[in-house]
Amino acid sequence: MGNKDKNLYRLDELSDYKVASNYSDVRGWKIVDSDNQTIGEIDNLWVNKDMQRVVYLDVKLDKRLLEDSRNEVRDVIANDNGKEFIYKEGASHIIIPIGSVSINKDTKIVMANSLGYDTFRNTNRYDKQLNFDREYERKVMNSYYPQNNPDSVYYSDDDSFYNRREFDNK
Amino acid sequence: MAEIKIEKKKPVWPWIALLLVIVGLIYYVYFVDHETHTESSVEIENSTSAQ
Repeated sequence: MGNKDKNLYRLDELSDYKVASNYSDVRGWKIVDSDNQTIGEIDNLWVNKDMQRVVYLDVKLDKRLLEDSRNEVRDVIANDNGKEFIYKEGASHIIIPIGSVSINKDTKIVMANSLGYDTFRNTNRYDKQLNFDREYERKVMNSYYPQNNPDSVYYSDDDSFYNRREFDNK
Repeated sequence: MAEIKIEKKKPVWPWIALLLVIVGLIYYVYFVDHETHTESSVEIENSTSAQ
């Protein structure tokens, strides 16, 4: 299922749409984890056209975080413990559901409320040149919220996937 | 918990149309209307000198 089938677009792709008045266009803003450590910079906004709102922040990961992950993979290879590799070379972007962050308009910093540095370091990434599928979205959600019941709307293929607190759909 | 809504950009063409109308009006007032007045004055002068 492609992103277009899910009504999911980068805001840049929709030339006739913009961030609504009274909301912050956070593109270019820094994003930090719950301990104020830099995660990266918000590169784009993934929007659901039918729902008329942002569902994911597209984050270009910070160099330090990418380097930490590379070091971890080197350790894994050295120890040969059979752990699945969590990223491919060149994939430096992750998506973060909009309901998982707070926006500080004064400092122009976005904070991930309850997600830590290690969670972001271990979350699957995608290549900006390629689109992601629903399966990738599920992996990311499981990485951020492993305690959630996977039997719920995680398995829906339509927009009801976004009808949950993590997407701020109250 | 953050929320960011999006909206359709407002079309620009009504403003462009309004601007064209204003430019057209200015052109009419300062050029077309002014030329008509000048021609009338010349005709009056000519008829006076003929007598």
